[in-house]
Amino acid sequence: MRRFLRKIAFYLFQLLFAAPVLLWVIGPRYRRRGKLPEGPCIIVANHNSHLDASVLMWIFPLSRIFGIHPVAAADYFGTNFIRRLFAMIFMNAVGIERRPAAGQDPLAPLADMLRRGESLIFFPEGSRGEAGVVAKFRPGIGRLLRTVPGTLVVPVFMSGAERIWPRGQVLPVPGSIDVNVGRARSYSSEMNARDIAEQIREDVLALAPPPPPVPGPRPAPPLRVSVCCIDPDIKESFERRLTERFGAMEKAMALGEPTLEADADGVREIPQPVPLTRSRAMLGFLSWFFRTSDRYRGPRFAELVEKAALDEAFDHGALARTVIGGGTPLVELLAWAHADASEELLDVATLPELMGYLSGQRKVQLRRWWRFIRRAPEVWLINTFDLAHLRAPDVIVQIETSSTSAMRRIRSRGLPLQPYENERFLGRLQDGFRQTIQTLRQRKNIDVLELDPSRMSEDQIEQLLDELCERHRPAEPGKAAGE
Amino acid sequence: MSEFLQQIPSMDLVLGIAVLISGSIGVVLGRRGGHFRGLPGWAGFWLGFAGLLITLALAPRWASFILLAGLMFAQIRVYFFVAPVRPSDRWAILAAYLAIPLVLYPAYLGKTGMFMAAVPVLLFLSIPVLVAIGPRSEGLLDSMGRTLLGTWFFVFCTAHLGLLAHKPAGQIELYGVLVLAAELPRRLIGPVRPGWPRYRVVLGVVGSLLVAGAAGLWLGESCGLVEEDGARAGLLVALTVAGAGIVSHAVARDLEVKGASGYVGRPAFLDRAMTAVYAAPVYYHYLDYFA
Repeated sequence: MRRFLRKIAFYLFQLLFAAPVLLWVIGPRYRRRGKLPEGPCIIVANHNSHLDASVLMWIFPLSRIFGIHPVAAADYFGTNFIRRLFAMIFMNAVGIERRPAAGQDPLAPLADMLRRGESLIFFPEGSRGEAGVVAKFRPGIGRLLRTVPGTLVVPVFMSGAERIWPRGQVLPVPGSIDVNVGRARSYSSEMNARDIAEQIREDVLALAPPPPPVPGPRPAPPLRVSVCCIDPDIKESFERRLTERFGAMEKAMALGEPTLEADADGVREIPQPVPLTRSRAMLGFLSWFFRTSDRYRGPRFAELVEKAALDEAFDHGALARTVIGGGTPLVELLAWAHADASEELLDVATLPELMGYLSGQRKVQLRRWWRFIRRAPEVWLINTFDLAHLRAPDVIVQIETSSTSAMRRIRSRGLPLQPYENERFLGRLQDGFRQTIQTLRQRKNIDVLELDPSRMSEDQIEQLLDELCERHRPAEPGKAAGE
Repeated sequence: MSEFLQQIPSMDLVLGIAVLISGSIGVVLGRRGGHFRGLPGWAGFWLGFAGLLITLALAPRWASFILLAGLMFAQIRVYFFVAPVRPSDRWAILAAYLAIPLVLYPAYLGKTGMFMAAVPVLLFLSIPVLVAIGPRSEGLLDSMGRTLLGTWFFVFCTAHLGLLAHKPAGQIELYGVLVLAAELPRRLIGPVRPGWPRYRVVLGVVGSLLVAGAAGLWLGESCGLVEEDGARAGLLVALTVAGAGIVSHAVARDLEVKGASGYVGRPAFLDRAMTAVYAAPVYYHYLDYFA
């Protein structure tokens, strides 16, 4: 009877107060709520406001919400009748002692609930904390998952609640909330509780949207440098030399394999700096299905898209001031498309059009789809599926080398030759680079440095590289402001 | 059926047909992708907006004004999410919300003078004080600008729809038709992007002027305007809508709303709402003083 009355009170509150307020005053936008598991799970989210539990509860359909229990701090919500009424009755919360007495296991009732098939809403930060800051997760969530192994955890990131009703404010202000629901997963019970908590925190943070732009001047986009050469060894060595030089002036990164980071302390290899979320398998499948050219087949196509996404992520200029690429994806793709199908599909007049497609400024027209699917499927895939918006470089270092010497070097690696690794094709690719650079120069003010190592001495090359870096030396802050 | 159609005021029917035509074009072209992919959403927004205009014209004022207040509330709420101000400016945000009933009340009474006095006194004198009261921190001017701009667009401009409800029959619906006529060519041509030829921009504006001017010329008479006034109202609305487009894209660029997010979700709602209400003051005062 008592449970029945509780249920009535709970539903009356939720339907007559919580749902209308959420719908009309807050208007949360749930993303990927369809990913929620059918069975018991723990929703883990960042915590900034009293609204959080209510917003999270309504991720679930009405039929399930009575089986969802927000975990509330007993030392806060159990202190007076009003708080107890709202938290424990109207919100169906379960209390947890943040500072338990010796010998008491505060997690035991939670574990029992999970075993009974009920779900929890858990805020491992422990309190609402500072608005907009995700504090360290306490290990309690890890201990709970070790107690009930195999429990599914749904990471959720909420943004906007901290502006509506942050800690320390009496009055909520209407606003909007974005709720990003992540994929449910379980954590190995062999992991340390602290490591589990840390891992969950990373999963929650991975769902965070980019921060809104702050008032005031923005960092300029980085200087994009592209090295174009048909000889992979020469290209790699020039990438490294440029990274070192630009890094000595300001932080620089080279998006090759491996990724390099350079600053005044020198050059070092680093892991991928930005998490890449696109599905490699799906991209590989698309490239296989639409028969992209040999250079961009399967995983290589996925790599290209990831490289482009990484390049895009540098746009705000905070990660690095110079980004060096072994031919940025745009230059590479244009040159390769040109080399692949120069006679059939492309001529110099087509390149600007192709550039519009690859940079996301134009859409491939429906009536031209079939032509593109047959002759430049990678361009069509990137454009039609909006896989990336490729950026044009600011500086291009074009290194001329003979296709014979390039082939000699490729053969000397001892690896099996790819279908495109032959003198004729490499010659066409070199021509493709020239055409692409010419086209890009018509659209953008690009600084092109042409180098020919077979005809220039090492001193001459060093001098030209020095001059290039000098031309792009960042202005002193005072001078930039015109002081 | 014909009897039923005869009972519907002619301008409501015209607005309904205009929305249906634009919606059909939007849905068909939306499949082509590119900048067309925002068209079905835009058509959906107009279905609701045209419904609001018809309600303002036909329904009891207390009911239609509640709907108008709801639209203003939704616009402000979305605006402050997309263009956040400093956390310390909560009182200014609250003032922007409270401005809705305060501005709608004179509009409800149809007292233009009181309305015109309430807006600057309530909004432009009180909000800066509320923004300035907060703790000293950087970005005060930016925050003030954001708050005032949002209030200007989504409270002041939108509230003019309430004033338009007092105009003779058909004039508020004519406003809807003119804005729709001015927007359609612009939406079809798409947002202006760097590197695009300038003739596209000119083509969009000229297209808007022609279509809206022709619509005003054709429909003005049935709303109690002389032909020239209808055409002039159409041209004015087209120019203002073009201006709204420029402002909307500039704001989106400043807020770094780009790519796919510009076509969907909250930024798209703001863009559609802003262009729909931006011309309301111009249209209202033109009718009031010149027509």
